[in-house]
Amino acid sequence: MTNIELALAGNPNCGKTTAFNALTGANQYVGNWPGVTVEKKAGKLKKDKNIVLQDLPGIYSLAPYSPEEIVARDYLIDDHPTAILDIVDATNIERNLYLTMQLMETGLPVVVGMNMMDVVAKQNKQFNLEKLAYGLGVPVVGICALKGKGLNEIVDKAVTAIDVPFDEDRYPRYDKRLEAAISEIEAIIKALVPYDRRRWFAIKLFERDVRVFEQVNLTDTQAADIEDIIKTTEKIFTDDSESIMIDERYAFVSQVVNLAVVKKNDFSLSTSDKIDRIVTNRFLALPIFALVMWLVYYLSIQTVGTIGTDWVNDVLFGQWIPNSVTPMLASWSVAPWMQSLIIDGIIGGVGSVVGFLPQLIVLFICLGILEDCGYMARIAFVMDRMFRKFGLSGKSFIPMLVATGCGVPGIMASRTIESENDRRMTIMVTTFMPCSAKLTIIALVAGAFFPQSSWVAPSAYFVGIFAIVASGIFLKKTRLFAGDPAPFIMELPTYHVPQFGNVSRQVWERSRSFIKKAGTIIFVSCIIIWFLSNFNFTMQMVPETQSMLAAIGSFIAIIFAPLGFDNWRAAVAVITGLVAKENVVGTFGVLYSKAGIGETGRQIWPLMRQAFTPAAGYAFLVFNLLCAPCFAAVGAMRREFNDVKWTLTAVAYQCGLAYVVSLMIYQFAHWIFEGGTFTVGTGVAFVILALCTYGLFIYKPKHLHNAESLSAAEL
Amino acid sequence: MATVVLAVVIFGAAGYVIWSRFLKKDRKPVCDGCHESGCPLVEEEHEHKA
Repeated sequence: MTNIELALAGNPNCGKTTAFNALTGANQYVGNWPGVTVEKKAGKLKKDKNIVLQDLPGIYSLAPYSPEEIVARDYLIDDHPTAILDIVDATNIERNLYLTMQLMETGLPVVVGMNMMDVVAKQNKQFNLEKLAYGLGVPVVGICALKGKGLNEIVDKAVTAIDVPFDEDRYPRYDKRLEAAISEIEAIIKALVPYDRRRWFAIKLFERDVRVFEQVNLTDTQAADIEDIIKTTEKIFTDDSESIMIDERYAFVSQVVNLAVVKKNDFSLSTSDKIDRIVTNRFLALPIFALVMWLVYYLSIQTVGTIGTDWVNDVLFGQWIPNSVTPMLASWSVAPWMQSLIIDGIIGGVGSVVGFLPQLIVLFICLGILEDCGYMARIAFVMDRMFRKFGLSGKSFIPMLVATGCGVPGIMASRTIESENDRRMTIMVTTFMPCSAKLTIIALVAGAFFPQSSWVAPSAYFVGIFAIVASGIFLKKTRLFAGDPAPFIMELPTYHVPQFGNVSRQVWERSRSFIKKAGTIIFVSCIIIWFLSNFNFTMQMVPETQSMLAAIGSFIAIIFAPLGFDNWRAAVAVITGLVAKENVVGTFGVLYSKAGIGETGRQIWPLMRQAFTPAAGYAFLVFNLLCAPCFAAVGAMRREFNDVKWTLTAVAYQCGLAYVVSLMIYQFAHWIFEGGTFTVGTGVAFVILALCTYGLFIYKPKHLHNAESLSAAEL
Repeated sequence: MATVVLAVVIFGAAGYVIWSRFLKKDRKPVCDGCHESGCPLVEEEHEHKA
């Protein structure tokens, strides 16, 4: 059997990736918000390895308006897959079938998979799939991507459809006057495009699609003839050509839907609508969001997760492993330096990071549930209202949601933002959201300095959002990022009970990669930190305070003195955190294990309290949250900016913002809550606060003045 | 002897990590640690394998 390539297409969030995973056995990330699939992905079918499935990004049309649409249509037209599996969200049938029309216009065999039929039934609607297939002229199969029902059938139908010889009946037919115009254009481009894609090119030329005009090598006469045809048709329809096509497609869809709908009751509010009335309410949305995030962090860091972390730290890495490894090494007559490397360096360092795994698992479960049930998509909608006021689009919040797992895919997700300025700004601010690696720092500081306060951990999340909003306001005032925010249209998925498979897959993948990272990057980092903290520059083993690391750390620590953590261990932790944020905790683990008092987890806390005040501890946390992300994320930024200068600007901005915010936090909190004296540092913090207030709320640059004057003149 | 064996194992493992993550020509993306297989960097790799 020859290789068959099937394209999986559909609107955003219609269940394509879920279907892709079920059909190929892949483990692609399924997000319950649009825009998860930025590029196409390939996988071989589980049941037949000769069939390759291409998961395309979610799109609403084949117009060249967004990067996803361009990726999808270039693939469909240029790579010409064998057939298209069109996943249709039955709860939004009209809009989904609009894309189906355009997929059928490509001339490729199309098979429609009606997904979410169970939700439709709950909405008191029913579809007659046979009538729908008759109306559309293509096979239609009822599927449930979540449960994997009907998926094999849709593939079988697609394979059968491939064998049907190409004929003109495959296309949807529109108004006769429009068809006449399309036929005339087809006649003009006859020799320029392949036979089976001629109609698609003709329609796109009729729509005055700029990219297609560039693609087809028309002579001036041919271009003029086509323009004449378009103008004549526009006169007949008294509308522009693009609107004519849109109207005709919707008219066709409307006819088909009327034919296929058995029962309809549009006037009752669904359960989802009722929940949304409260959850997305103008006044209640943000307080509810704050409450939900507080609960998430309270469960993961303060209560449920802590039980597991305490056991890992106190029993596993506190007793079992050291108590069995230490005598074993002694019995093997292992050299003292090697014993120190294993006990203090590797077990102390890696153990202190792994100790946070139970807290992370609880956090992953909570975030997985919120995402899968559909709540997180609402947050993007709610945030759009807020972000828009400050010059950012709600579209920027999707990368930020993704970044709560890891900053790298968050930065990658910014590709869906069309406006170059908005995209750059999103890349710059996305990593302010605390990723799972930063959660270890949050848990360490919250546990060490604020064990009784449930607000500290969630506050880290809101500090991230605040930094994004403040950056949005400020950066939009600069010429580099000026411009109106891009429009954001987002479909809210229907609420449903979280699927065990989706949530557990997320938790498993995230936990696995955390452990993998601890066993690789963190393991190597701990060895290096141990080496640097045990040897001096002449390579002699010395006490920690005389080591290379102490010398380097003490030099760097001067920079952090105004922030309250002029401690060489903390300075070193900040620097090692650039390799991977988990290293911050790992560094303390190694250095305090070496000090002989601390081991892992809770035992580090008293030593940290000796080194910092709570205000300095919180400033340390905020600095690590906002400063430059890990090397992997900086690398992702460089790839996405495709420019070293922009990357350096972003890193400098992040470090600068982290420094001034931490400085203000420490100086004010130390002076107000810890009875510190008013110093030069406090004065500088006041000046910075005044400058920030001016920059955010009062300063209006000239180019904004000019834009406003122009708008007023236009009115 | 045990010290030498442990040194070979530990430093060998560390060397392998550095080589495979930072030096190897067709190395995995450094961010492989992040779980998101939705990440296009990981996808590219999947696609090449397929």
